[in-house]
Amino acid sequence: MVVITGSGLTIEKVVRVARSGEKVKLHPKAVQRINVCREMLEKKVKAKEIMYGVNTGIGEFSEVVLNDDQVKDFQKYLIYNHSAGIGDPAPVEYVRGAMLGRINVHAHGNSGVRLEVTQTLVELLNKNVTPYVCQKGSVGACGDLAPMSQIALVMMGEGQAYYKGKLMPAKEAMDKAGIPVPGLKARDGLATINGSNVLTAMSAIFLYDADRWLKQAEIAAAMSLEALKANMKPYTRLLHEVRGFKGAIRSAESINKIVSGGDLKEGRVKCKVQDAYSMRSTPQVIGAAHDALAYARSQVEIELNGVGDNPIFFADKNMQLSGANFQGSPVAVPMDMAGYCITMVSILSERRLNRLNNPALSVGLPAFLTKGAGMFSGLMLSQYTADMQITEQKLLSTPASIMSIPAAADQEDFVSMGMNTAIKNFQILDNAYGILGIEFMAAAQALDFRKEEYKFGKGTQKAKDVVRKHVEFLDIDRPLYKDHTTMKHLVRSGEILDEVEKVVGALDKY
Amino acid sequence: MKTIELDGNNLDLTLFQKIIFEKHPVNVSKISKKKIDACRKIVDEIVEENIVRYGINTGFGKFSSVVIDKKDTVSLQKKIVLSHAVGVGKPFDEAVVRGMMLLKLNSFLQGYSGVRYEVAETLVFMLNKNVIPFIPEKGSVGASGDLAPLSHMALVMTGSGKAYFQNRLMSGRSAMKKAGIDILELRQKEGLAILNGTQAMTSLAAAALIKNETILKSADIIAAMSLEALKGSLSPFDIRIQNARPHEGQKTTSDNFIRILKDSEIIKSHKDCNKVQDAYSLRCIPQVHGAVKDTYNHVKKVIETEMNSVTDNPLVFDNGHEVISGGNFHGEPVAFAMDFLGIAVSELANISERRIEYMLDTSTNDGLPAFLTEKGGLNSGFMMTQVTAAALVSENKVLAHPASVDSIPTSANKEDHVSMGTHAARKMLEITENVKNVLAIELLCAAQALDFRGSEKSSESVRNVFKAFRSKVKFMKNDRYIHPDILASAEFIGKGSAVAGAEKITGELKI
Repeated sequence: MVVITGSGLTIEKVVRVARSGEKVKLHPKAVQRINVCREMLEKKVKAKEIMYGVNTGIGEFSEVVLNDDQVKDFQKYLIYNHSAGIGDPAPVEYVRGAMLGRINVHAHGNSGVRLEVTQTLVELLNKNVTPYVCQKGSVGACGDLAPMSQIALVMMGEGQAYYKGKLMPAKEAMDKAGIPVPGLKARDGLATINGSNVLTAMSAIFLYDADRWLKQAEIAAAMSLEALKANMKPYTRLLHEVRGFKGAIRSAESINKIVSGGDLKEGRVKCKVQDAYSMRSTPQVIGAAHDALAYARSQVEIELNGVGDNPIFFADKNMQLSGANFQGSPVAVPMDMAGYCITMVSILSERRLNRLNNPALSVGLPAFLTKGAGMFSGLMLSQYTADMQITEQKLLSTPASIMSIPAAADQEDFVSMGMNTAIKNFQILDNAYGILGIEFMAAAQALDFRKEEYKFGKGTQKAKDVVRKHVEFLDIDRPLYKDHTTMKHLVRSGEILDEVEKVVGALDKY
Repeated sequence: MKTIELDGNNLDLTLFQKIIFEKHPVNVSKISKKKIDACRKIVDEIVEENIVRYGINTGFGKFSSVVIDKKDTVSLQKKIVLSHAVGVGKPFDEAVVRGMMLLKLNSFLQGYSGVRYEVAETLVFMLNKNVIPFIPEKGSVGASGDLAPLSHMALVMTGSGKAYFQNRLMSGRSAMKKAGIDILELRQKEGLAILNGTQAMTSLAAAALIKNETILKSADIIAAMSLEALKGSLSPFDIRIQNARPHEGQKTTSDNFIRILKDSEIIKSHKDCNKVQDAYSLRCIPQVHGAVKDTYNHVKKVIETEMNSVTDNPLVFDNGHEVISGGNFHGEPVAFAMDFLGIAVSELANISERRIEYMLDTSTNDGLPAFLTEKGGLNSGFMMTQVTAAALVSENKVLAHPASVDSIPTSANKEDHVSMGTHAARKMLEITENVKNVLAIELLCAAQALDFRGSEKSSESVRNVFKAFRSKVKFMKNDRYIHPDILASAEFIGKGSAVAGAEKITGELKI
């Protein structure tokens, strides 16, 4: 159970709720704050005070003042005209993550929303009703208007939702789950939609997955290093401490853990004085990615726990302020960086794959890791598959945060495009699973050629054993696409990581 | 030096080269003068009769609906030049500025711009006396043409701004005075006619095409030297293969190679060796260099069309005082062409860098010493030159990102889609420099490799290039300061010495 207080929400908690279905509860103090704020808002409505988005139009229409009748209908039309997304639905976990983020915004008591609305979001999470939300349509400022509106539709008993894995009209899903429809009154509409919660939830989930992928990149690197008889001196902790980057120290120590207990680490295998960069500078490269992800996490977690809404109400000061806390840039900028770090580490993986395949570089391994050269081509074509995915990653690594296009008759004339960042980051990661799977497969193949010669590290041996549970040694050529695909799923599942960590301990503790 | 007569339709790259780089004087054909005078007469009548026409007696851009009082129509022209001179950055090279003046002059000669003959003549004088306005390179979004750069040119024509004369930077007024050219006072329509147009990007584009003609041919010659050095096979250049996929550039490329290498002893010596297939960077030269040539020729067509186009706005037509406002200043055709050529030429360096690597690495270079040096270990040889090549190739990958797909609305959304063509053309020239330097490194390596193989067994044309090259850059027996060698090699290519050396034997190589 995750208790929501408006603070302390981490990316791990987002994953537990969004992906694993953990239940949530509003802290009593949060309930109190929401009620106090709403009371102030209702007083101001009664006093006919003009408040943006409560009794005025929105965006370019903010100068249009609405009368009492219009205020009620306005909420409905606001949600209708903002439900402007397009295309395939977003995965359930993104939508759940977005709802969780929104509840945490409300928990501050600065949104002026009715408690029923927030409580309904809690119920949707706990009873597993997930609004149908189109993935595309947000420019990442005024937040994720289009996708959040499809969540708001459900609050009015409209739109569609998934319940127990089935898509149905939202009203039906709410009825089946026993959740009353709260409807949207003054301010509720904008308070539900005006934040970059979808892209932030996606970014949180991405960072969680990317961290697990990076750890596996270290395991794959360790396997390749052992197969290529690497000089392990560059992984000495002291070397990284004198430069002082945390990520590099962590990465070097992870690799040391994985190879420890093997003949190479113990200096019983002859190696070169100096290796190529793809073998020697793994801690510096993967470490840089760790550091970048750490920064991105700190920004995303600020956003997860901040009031990303507009306008914002301060009950203790009897005041409301209109600003731009929905602007997605603080998340978009570090996430662009997080995405292309995954590309960078994938490029390093491909270089090691190349060394495993190329007999001029592989210190005695058979060309293309096959012993039937000529008749067989071994893993020659696996590199092609890795390469095309890397090119796709490179194309996807162009930052989205510099791509602003003015919207809304130039009232919203700079937008973050953080949703594009979030979408393409998952595309980069999808390719990264495939690329790393191929390195794992090649490294396991190479280690099989070495296994009579010397003993491997504990982590390396375990990782190879897990690979071999899924993909057999390539003795004679066979269609590779199945193996490639199996490996991609294996990396995505994290089984190798979990098994290796059981043997060598957690890879992020150093 | 022969004077070249211009008529608004006859400009091509060859004439551009002669006028801009060799500094042939220019004059204007009689028929063009007549057209200019006739067109101006229409403008004068419009002014006289107080007919409201855009750009003659109205404001500009977003202010086009503001009618300007007759007494202010002359000061209007002065103001537009001043207000549009907003460039920033380093000045354009002399050649680019001369190109802009030539292209602007040529665009007046069809007689649709409504300027007086004196305006065209001022440009003729400035070209012939080599008065070079100081024009900052940045500030154009490539629609309504190159407003800022052309304004800086107009400043000098009207006796202000800054200009170079006899290699000295001075006030525009002194430069004109020293050159003995009268200063213009612009009349109605004339300011706009000078400012509106794609002359900066087109001048850059023409310069890029001229430079790349040499580069494209040099790439074939240098790659042929690498092919010899790596004991590569000439059979992928067999004309039957190219005929089966009849892209023009592919055929031209293999034809160039066959002519360059036809009497090579090195190629013959391993005709029956047991290497069945070379790597792509050798075997696919006809396909890659060929596609670059095809792109070059397409782009050349676009740019030569633009060189003879009227790209200002509005245009004045003779019947019934018609002044039609359109969008001929929009640089998109040039922007696309420059983005595309940039991508294509980048590929020449990309594949060249692979051949450099191939020559340096003992696992691929067929018995040449590692990094092409004796006593490897004590010497590092050409190891680091590949690093330079890789840095340049990577830079090109970033520069090859198209400028034309960007657009930022300007002028209160009146000019809400622009071409960014001037940026496309500027970065094209940066790409070109990088490509030349990568080829320079390939040439250094190929020559060194041929020394190890015995250059006397090279084809006659390669021997001729080799001999000329060795008079500039010596064999590297022990490590030395390589930077001057790279510079010398790049200069050798840029000056066309590789092309001249080969063509002396083969006759003209084709693009």
